[in-house]
Amino acid sequence: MEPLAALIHVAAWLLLTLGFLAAVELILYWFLYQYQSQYFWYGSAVLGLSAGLIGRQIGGPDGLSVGVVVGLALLFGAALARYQVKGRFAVPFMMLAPAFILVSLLVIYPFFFEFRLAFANLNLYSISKWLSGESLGWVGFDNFVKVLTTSPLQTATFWDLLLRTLLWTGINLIFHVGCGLGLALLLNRPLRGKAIYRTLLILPWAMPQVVAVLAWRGEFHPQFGFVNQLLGLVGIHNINWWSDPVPVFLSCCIVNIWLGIPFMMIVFLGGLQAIPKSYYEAASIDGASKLTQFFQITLPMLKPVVVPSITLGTIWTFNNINVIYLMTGQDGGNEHADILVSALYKSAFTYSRYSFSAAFAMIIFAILIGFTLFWMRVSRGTEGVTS
Amino acid sequence: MSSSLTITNVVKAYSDKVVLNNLSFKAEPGEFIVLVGPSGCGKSTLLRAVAGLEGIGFGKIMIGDRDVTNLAPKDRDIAMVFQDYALYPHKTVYENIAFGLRIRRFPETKIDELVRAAALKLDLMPYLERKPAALSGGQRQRVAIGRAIVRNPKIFLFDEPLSNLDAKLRGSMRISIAKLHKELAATILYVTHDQVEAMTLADKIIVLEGGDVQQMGTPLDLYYHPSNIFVATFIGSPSMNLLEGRLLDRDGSVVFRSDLGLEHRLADEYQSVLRSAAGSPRKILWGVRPENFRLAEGDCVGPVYTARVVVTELLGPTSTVLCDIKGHEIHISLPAPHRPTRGQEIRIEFRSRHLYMFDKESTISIVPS
Amino acid sequence: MTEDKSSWRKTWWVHLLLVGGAMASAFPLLRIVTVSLRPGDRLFSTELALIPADATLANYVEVFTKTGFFSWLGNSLIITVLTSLIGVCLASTAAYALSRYRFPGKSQVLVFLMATQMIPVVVLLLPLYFMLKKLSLIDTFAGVVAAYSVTTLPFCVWLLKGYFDTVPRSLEEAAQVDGLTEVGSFWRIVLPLSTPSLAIAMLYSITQAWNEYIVARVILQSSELYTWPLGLFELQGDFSARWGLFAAASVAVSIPVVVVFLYSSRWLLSGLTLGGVKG
Repeated sequence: MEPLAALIHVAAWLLLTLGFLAAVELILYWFLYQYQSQYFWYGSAVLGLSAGLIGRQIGGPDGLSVGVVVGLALLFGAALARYQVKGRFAVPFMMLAPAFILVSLLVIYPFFFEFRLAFANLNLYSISKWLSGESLGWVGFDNFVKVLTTSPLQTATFWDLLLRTLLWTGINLIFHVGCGLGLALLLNRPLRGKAIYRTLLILPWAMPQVVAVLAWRGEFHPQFGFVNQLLGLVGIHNINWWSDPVPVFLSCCIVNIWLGIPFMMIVFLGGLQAIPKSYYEAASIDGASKLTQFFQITLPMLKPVVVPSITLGTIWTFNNINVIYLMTGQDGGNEHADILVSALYKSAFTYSRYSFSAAFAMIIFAILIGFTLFWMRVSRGTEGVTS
Repeated sequence: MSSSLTITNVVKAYSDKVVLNNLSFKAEPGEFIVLVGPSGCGKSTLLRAVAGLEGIGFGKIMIGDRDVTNLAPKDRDIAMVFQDYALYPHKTVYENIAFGLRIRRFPETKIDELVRAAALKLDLMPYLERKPAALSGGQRQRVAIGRAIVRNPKIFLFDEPLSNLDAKLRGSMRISIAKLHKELAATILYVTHDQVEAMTLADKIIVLEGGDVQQMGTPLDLYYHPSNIFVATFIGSPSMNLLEGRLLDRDGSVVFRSDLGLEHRLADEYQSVLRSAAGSPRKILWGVRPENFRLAEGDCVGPVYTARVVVTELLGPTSTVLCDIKGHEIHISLPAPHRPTRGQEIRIEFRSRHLYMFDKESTISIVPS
Repeated sequence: MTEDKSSWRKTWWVHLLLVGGAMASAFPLLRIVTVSLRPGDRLFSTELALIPADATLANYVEVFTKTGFFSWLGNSLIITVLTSLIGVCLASTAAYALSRYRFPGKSQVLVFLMATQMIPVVVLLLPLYFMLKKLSLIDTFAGVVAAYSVTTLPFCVWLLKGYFDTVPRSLEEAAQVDGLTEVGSFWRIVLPLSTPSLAIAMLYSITQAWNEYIVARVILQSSELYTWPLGLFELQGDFSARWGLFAAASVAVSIPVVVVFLYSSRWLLSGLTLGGVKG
């Protein structure tokens, strides 16, 4: 493990430095519309130094993050001042400010704080010291290494969790899209009682998620739950949905699939209804079979609807903590169904490994960013996703 | 109480093009000025700049003797009628008209008095309690005008107000606007792309193209003394015909000879004036308006040509005939009873007291005004 | 004739599948109803009947009187209303700025908004927890409201911006010529015209805040401050004797939520396309 740890250390420092410089460069370019090489170095040096100094001055536990936020605010002010000459942007900035301030206080600042936290050594033992005013420590990249090499929970390692998360996302997505599309196709015909079907089929989405998941949990009870009773009728006995590894994971999948189908169904239904009938009529005059029509007309015309839905669905599923958390008995409890986000929650709030969790969160975030950038590049090649 | 409007050296540019190129003019109190030109020429931009809805890069705008260049619209004491009327959909007609007065905290009784007076003048009394959605296009237009006049502003701005109306309504609204102008003695800045509106409504017309003023003058000025080809072909409908050729000195007379051989001896009053241009190799364009022709019958004062009819358009009171004279395709306008048929040969007389002649390269008129 | 028969058979299959789907969808709710109606001593029976023979409302009575059910609902209500108000107010001015103006940093803001949709709440939960702890906002409504308003903000801004984009600018220009300032024309003309979109944003915020569990779990600690998900969670314990109470409470909460959702879902979905479809 040692060579790996060392490697991670070096790579991480490199990334950090380059990243910081790149960020400063981008900010100078965007906000001040000036990109002159000699100023860049001076500018970054001044910015870095002032951020650090301010952070130092404020002292306390989160000097660095405060420094960064102050730096951001200074840049914001500089942008404002630069254009204040004509007062042109005063009104929009003013209108944007309240939301911006809220977001920077409750999203940007915590984010940078978490970043700082990841390099400290905060856990159940040291937290009381920190809360009474001592500063956070500095342990370098230790936490990151620990996340990748040891287990966030009792036994599952990071890689187990990653694999399981991908599996989770994949399985759910397939059924969400497949069943959603299937139901939408069924509903897209003239039918009697369509409204009733539609109303009933939306129920999983309409019900409060907490109620639905906990209810399902009850139904998976090994003894009194409906699922085992039903399986008993066909001769399958004694699946312990609450504690055996695979069944636990499976039960969570089933519940999440059940929860997610209605949304996909509605989205696809809307997309299907927007396809003009004249395409199908022209195709049938041309002699195309129903199957051909499906692949040549329906699917391509659904693409602008399908792509954003899949994107949203993937992200929501990847990030879905409610289902796993509520299904697996929450604190401590069962680990076999945990995905990345639920493991993060547990390691932070159940096991109180705060700094460790902060590093964990950063890594999860990096994965998400990587996926998004990759996805944006891919989808830009196929179909534009605009909002 | 209307005031003057003075525009001085106004420039507006975006990073890639200049929209208003150093414009200056002055409107006296009570004058009806029309800004006319094709799409994209900058007329709407100038109007909006006067309104304060857009800024200018350079220059000064004065209303009366107040410099309003940097003032917000609300401080300029102007009123504007928009192309899409811009009536507040959630307010009644009464409230739409009263809105500006309410903001300025006029007393309720005064508001009522003014709104009803405006409604009466514009024939809107039966509609006061309706919402804009329940009105026709013409009615909405009148409400927009009502909203403008009720505040008695110093300047009225009109942004292509009649473009969205059908032809018949446009005609009657034009007359209403002209009447309103007389009654209120208001200073009006009016933007349109329709030269008929410009010719009929304006005290002064400013023709714009590509951000530049092509010519500024009274309607008759522009009609009889266009300063360049653009103005000449823009004003007048159907538009002026242009024949390409040269000026020659033939036996002491200045004669225009087209490239296809059509010849026209300039009228006496223009002989001396253009003598210097005769014989030069410069390409000249001779402008003939469709209305300068009539069928040759009886005594003919001007030159007579034989023309072969290509297409006749019956417009009711007149017919526009596209005919072929010595290879030139020319539009002429004949009064009603005459409806020559395709292929027919007619003899037409050219009669015009004004000469339109332009240098082809510079497009400027070579006839001194 | 053959076409008739095969399409009749196909329709039969379609109905079968749809009925199956509908049953699977409605089933858990129905089961909860069943459990809630069972008398206490037979909670753990393995019967499958929908309405048990000796159905009783005892569970409901106990939930309403002996648990903090109504205080949970009250807490949820306060938090939800505050969150929606703050969220929609802040989102409306921000959305207007993004809709009407060009300013440096605008595209970055838009990208940032989209990006925040992607971050799981859990990632920010830990630092948020510490921040609130330092500010003594743990276990208060203010802390929860702060966390919630920030999570609904991006979507509301996106929604409202889409709607504002369809309001013709000439209305605001007319208002400015009439005598209002830019902000004034927003407040008095654009905003009153945007009520459908504002209502949808409110509805969205309300549903988000009302049903939320994880963040509330972390921030709220004393039981008198519990929102209803937290309260419900308490009740379901470990499938103990309180399962019936849990069921009754669930039904009591779900019915109004489902009704509101079904009633407004058509409206909500059309609102999501409001910005795009209007010409």
